[in-house]
Amino acid sequence: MKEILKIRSLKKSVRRKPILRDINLTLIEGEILGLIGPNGAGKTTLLKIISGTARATAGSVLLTEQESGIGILPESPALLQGLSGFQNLQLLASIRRKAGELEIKEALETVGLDPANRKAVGNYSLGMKQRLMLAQAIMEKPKLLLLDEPTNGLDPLGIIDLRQLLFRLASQGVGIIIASHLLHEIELMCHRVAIISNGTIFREVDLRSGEQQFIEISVSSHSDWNKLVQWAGKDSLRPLPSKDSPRGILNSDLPVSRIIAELLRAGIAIESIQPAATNLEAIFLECSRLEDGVYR
Amino acid sequence: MLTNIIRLELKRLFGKKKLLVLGILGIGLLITGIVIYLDHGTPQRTSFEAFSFATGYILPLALPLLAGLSTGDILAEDRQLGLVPLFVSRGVSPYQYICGKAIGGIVGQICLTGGLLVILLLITFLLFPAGPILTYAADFAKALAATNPVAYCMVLLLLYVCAATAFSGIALFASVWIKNIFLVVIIPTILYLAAFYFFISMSFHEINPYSYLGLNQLSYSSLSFTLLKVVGYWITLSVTIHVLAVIAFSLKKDYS
Repeated sequence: MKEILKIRSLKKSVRRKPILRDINLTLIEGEILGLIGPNGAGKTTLLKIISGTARATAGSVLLTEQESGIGILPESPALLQGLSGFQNLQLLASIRRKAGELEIKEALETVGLDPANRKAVGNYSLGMKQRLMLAQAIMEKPKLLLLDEPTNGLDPLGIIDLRQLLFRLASQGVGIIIASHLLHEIELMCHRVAIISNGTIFREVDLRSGEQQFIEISVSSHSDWNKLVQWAGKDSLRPLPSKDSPRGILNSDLPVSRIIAELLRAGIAIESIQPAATNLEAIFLECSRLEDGVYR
Repeated sequence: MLTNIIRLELKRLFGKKKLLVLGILGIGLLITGIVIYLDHGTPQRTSFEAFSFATGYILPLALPLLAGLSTGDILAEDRQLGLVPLFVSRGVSPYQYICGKAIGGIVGQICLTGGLLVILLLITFLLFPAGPILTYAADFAKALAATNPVAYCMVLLLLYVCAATAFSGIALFASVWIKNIFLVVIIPTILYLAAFYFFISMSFHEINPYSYLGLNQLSYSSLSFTLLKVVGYWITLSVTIHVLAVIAFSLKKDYS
């Protein structure tokens, strides 16, 4: 697979305060990368630098498909309120003259908007504006899409449509970067996730990889928990807050059946065991934790 | 790409209803100037003199606001709406973008202010006969106004268009840092009035912008003013402020 974006040693400081520190990231065509991180972690700044809206202090951003441009979806809709959706896109398309009337209509239909709607954008709902912004991002068929909180204002159906659209674009070779706070959506939409914390990429998780799995285990007593910690090792077991039985997330490459067998053999009384539904949440919490235990 | 940007800017600018409203307002103000002219004594009422009087009476006060309101917000509006990233991500360099804005603003002012003054001249032709400007002309150009009123009026037209582009440029320069549209459009007026009162109080007419706009209002017999110098002042100011705006925006670290 061809790399479409290469970021090397990227740094950004604002008034001597580091916002991004040594970011290294690669995106291949057809890949959907999620960017998650606490508020102020540097997600939006990173997207701004990739799109050319902000300048990096040091480092490089290499776009291999520069000719095809970048489609961006900013955090809040940027539209001329007095014009219709079609006129807004027409105006933006006139910058490069890459998309004609046909492409504009196609983009509007793709996001579920009526190209014949002459209503001014000022009267659109937030969801419609978001769809329109998505249409402007895809109308020129860019090879790289940067989406900042793309589900903002979308209803559940809109979110499902968006997910399907992104999968379709990815299958056509478009590289997509999504910055979002909605971990569940990121989990459903992305192939890979980069967790940004304090201006650095703290961890990258490949969601397609089946090698590692997260299993939620709860045991009968604290002595069982201590045995479990001993068995799994401190690094592979992350405790979760619990009122009753001690519980935690186990990171293991063993099949669940074997884990159960081994735990029973070790004399650990298991209350429940199941694949963890919110892997990303657990990883995110771990990455966001400061040394003194306070979350950012 | 730059041509596309300029074309886009002009399309956006002339698509705005506000320009029509400001045009009507401008004509209304200038016609008020003609009405006031009728109250003033002169040996011979002529169309050119009416034009000179009306522009000299109204524009030294109204031009900064008209220019600010019409094209002063072209960058601030984009910044407030968040449109700049959409341009930049489409491969438009910040330099091309701001050049497009600057040229769009200049062309807009040439069309709006120039158009207003041409319409005013046509109106004066309907009301008065053509003839020399005997009273209401700048002291330092009285001879030209009396012998060649057409040339004098054309210089006035050029002067006001250049001044309008300078005021629009001041608003553009301010919008490099300020996103608030209201503030940006009134900044030329505020600066102009501040400079007017400051230099008047200092009796320093040589760089007072009002001295170069209110030609009929003040007597500059002691100053070495010429029409060339007056027009040159606004051209220099306009070019300088636009170049500064282009440099300042191009050097920004965040264009949003």
